Amino acid sequence: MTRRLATGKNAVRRAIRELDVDEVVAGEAVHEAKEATGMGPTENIAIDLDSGDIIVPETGEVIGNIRGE
Amino acid sequence: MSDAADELRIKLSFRVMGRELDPDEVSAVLRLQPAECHRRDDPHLGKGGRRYGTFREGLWMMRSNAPLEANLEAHLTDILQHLSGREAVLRQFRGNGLRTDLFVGVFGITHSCGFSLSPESARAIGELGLTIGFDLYPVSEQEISVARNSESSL
Repeated sequence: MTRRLATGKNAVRRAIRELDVDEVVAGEAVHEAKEATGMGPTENIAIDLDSGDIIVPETGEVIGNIRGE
Repeated sequence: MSDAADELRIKLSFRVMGRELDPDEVSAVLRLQPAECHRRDDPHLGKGGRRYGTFREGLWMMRSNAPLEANLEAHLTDILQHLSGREAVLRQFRGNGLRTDLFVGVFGITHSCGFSLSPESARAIGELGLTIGFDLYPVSEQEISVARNSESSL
């Protein structure tokens, strides 16, 4: 099954809209995932539009979830 | 205007990162305790206990104790007071292949907001050799509109 991914600068915004996730929860979840994994602010992430998983595009590694799980 | 959507919230962390990072060694050398730390290959657990695989590199991190609503300068002052006098140690870390930075999350950004660094903080960050990165999360137009409508109906 192919993953539906939101990528690029509007990835978080698109995922918030499609998954109806609280904007504050989602933003903090993405920030904390980047913080914990040593990512910088300009490094892109992708978001799985079905699960809300936060993914490193280059590796496919899941580093968090925008619902803050 | 006291619109809630106009209020910035800031999280600031000081991080030391690298594949060979030993958190115990960083704590001992800095004589500070981290808020969070892990070694490479440690399990990456989410807040709810979900496992996200393993960490690809080690990390040692402390966070500002300033309130989320405090301005950037308050967060920087809180962190920088702990790092004062540790310039040589941080240089040594970087010489050993580790990375050091200040990582700032800014939430609730609207069209017209901003923040500034004092010369003292800017100088201290430079002397410590730290990169400072800003991870920005704007409030959507819809949320701003909802907050303003709520305020005008009061």
